[in-house]
Amino acid sequence: MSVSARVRESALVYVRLVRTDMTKLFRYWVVLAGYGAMFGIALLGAYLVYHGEQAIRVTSGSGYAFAISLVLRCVDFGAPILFVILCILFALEVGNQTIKCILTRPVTRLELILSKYITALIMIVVCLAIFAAIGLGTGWYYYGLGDLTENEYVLFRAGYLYQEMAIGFLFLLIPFLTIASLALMISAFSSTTGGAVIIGLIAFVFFQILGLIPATLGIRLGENFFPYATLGFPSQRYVPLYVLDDLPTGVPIDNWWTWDIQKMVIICSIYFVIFFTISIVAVKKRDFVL
Amino acid sequence: MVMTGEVVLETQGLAKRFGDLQAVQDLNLQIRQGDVYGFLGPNGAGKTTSIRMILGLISPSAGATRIFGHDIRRQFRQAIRQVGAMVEGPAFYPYLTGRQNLKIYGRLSGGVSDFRIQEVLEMVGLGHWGEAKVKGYSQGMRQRLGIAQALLHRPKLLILDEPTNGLDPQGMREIRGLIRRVSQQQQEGTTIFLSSHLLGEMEMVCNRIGVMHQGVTLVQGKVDELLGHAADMASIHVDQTDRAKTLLKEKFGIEPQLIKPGWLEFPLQDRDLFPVNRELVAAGLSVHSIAPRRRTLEEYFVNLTGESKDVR
Repeated sequence: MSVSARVRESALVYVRLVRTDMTKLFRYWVVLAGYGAMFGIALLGAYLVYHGEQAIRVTSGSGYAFAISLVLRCVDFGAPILFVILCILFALEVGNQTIKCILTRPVTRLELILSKYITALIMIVVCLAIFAAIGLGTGWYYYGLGDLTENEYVLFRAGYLYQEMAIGFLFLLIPFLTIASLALMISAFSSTTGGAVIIGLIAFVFFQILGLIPATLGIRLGENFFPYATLGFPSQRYVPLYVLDDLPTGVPIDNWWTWDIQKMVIICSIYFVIFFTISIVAVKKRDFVL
Repeated sequence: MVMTGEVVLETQGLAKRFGDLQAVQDLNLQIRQGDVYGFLGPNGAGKTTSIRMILGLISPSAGATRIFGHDIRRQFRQAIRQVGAMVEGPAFYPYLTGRQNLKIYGRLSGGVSDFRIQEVLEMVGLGHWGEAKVKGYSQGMRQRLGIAQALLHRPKLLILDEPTNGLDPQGMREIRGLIRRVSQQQQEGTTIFLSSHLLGEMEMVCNRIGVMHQGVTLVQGKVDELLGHAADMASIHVDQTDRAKTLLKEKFGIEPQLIKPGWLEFPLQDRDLFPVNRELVAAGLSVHSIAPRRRTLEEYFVNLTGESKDVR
């Protein structure tokens, strides 16, 4: 078989695996409840943020500011829920023993675990899209969207704002993909969905807590100072949103490739490679004695 | 295309060790095209472990498996493409319907139409249950659906681990019929590899068997050759078994066994049964029946493995 035919066949397998994942996951009550909760959090958050602002008379002033601030809060609460959903991705197959029916078909273990990452990416995108849609929708409803103006002076065109927000959301995928790789690593070692969720949550909280270490504590390597707090990689998910947060106040984003973003990419990439490699090895070497 | 009699599945020195336990050792199977091969053994003999190794679900400690000439570990996709399997019970997403589950597996195999899904559902007797969620299925229905998922893509090698588990006698009979139909369905015949500890079941469907005990293959070959073509036992249904036993011992030197009330049995050893019947009747005994019979697989199996109920 030629290389191109092999690549085509493998690509077809990935499409089939991801499609079947979508079919089974979006009919599973745990996943539906998780997305329902994220939807609810976003809507409730919008209501509370708006009325909270009204009460203290400090309003967002623009739909964009409202949307970004809401997405920030949603990402804060939504990440653990999304993490739990991702934890069951592989464990669901082991728990139901369906793994033996999948692996006795022309599907390699590598294709199976990689397809789970693709599914995880889609689920993350769906989640962030929900937050963005509700953020922008409620921002438009309360304050209106359009060109960002101040005293009839156009600070930013709507197109520019959407473009920057899109870039911000793309950067936001990086920490989420690392969070997904942790979830899938735990899932790859688990035999039940319940076990995967419990161990997953413990791991998530552990890494989250590392992010609370004071930024003054760390190691100095030559000129560079590495704070221990950066080990808490889940906190890195706020970095692109903090960059975006300044936008509605009229501060343009001249450069996305700042040291904070670079640090986020480095930290998340290192963790991603570690978790990703471990999960691939785990799935490839595991004896499925079910 | 596989030619008749060609080796479809072959294992060479397959072994698996779990810590101190040698679950399977030196398994050398050779299954030819068109065979209905019965893989027999008591619980804990190592049958399921062997099947898992054959399918690549667990890695062997030693040895290799070739399916259709392809090594299961190095050429997995080519090897598994024409295999349909159900290993140690059926596995499904309970919150999906039977049809949705089959659709998922069909998509992974590729080339499975909705028509084919309905066809296999009807084949296993679940034609009207496709829209019901699997969590509502009985054990027997799940077992049937498990066989259906193995048949979906018209495999040339069907591997079924304890396919009649959880089925009632009627269900067992239907599955037996289904296995026979599948084995004869295609021009060259689908090769079937069945594992079971239900020996009566296996005797009725298999043409070749392998017997495994405590991780070791004791024997394998054609059923007829192993059990013998001709009858080698005689059974007598008589009213007074004690008197009959004494008489048979005195007159013919036979020491029959009482197998159940009123029934005696002894090795035939080319003996003519007419004089035996004559002597029993002449002694005033009522002989309801006297007939030669072939040794059953169960008797052969017990003879090989012993009566031990130990499960390792």
